[in-house]
Amino acid sequence: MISLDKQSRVPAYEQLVEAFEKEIMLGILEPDSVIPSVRTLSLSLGLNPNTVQRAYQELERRNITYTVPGVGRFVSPEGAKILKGETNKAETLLREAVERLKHSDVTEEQLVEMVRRIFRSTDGGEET
Amino acid sequence: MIAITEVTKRFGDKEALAGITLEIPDGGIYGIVGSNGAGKSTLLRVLAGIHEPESGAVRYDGAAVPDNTELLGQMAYVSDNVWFPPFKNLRQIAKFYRRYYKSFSMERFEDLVKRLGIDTETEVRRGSRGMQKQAAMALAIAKCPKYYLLDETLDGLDIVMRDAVKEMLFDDLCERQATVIITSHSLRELENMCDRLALLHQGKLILESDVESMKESLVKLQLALNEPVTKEQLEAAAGVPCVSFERNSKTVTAVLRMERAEQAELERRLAVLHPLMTEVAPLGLEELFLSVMKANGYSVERPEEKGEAL
Repeated sequence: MISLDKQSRVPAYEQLVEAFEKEIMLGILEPDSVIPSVRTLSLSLGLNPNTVQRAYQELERRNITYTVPGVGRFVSPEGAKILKGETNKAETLLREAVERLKHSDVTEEQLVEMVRRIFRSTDGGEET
Repeated sequence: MIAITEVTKRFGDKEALAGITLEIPDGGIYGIVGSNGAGKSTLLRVLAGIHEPESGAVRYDGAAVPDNTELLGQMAYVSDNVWFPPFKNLRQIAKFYRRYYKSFSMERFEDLVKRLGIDTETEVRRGSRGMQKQAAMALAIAKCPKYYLLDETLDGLDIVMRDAVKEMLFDDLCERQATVIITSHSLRELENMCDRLALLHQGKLILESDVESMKESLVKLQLALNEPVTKEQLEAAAGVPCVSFERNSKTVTAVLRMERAEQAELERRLAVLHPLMTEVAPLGLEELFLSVMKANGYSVERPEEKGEAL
């Protein structure tokens, strides 16, 4: 179920988009399954309906969801695929991390080694 | 849309509103915040047609307020100081309302008092201040207004009631594209609720923006340095002006306004100042308003610290 951290400084609509992305990628929200209406979600989260609307527009713009007028909003069949293809976001995060490490005088070799170690450890392999 | 242009209002020699210009879009929640005596309630009363401004104008989709009964019928103004007639219980008052307001729905009223568990049979005046606020809010909602003008209404309600009232306002937003204008002292409350916020101080508009970009575009910067820097030096390095700047012997605390994309670069830009430590954090609305108010000369002086304390 979607939940928000109201104390967080991440804008609420962004938190919402991320929550939906996660549920769709994990397959909790399956293709063609219905998404709660703006009204329902706004009431259950205590969030301004316009904020919910904004998050939904963002999802729709990226073809992750689609609307059937008069019926409701649904997860696109290709939603999960689109999300997995979107590497931009991850790349921005990686760029930030790399820049930060560069500032603390980490060499390219050390960095590559670090990435390799992390990649292997998250893959179920053992950390060296 | 409500257009407020160059509105001024004075009480005696006190200028309560010193030329406010604002546009309030339809179908949203608009928050008005500010220091005590900033003119929030006066602005609401001008919007409700209770005060006539000395100069300037208020237009609801082009229509002026005074003597416009149709427009007044679409408004629900809940004052901070609600007044109820003596000896009347809430149901009697509701019946009175129904005679005067075309849009008043007795059905909605009954549903509301039942859901919120509001007492309709005792004289309203005998209830506590919070209970009177509840009663006023129930009447306002039952009126099915297009415009809600709420003066610190949420601040006087308990948390359960506040959530229930918020739910109903959100519902009206979805169903009827209602417009809510609300003042409050609780920034936390408004932060998650409003689409836009206006900050008033001494009758002037200090800041007006949509909440998301307000939160996104400001960052708090803390620097520790060996060599002291001036505000100008910091601005030159960061490439943007400071909203506020404060320097202690070795540390600098500043608030900067910049695009999100730029924020990622900030640390690198500041490298020319050779900081010992740099910390960039997003700014909460409370901190933001505190720093803006301080920059406008509004703060409470701390008593001088005495060296030879006891």
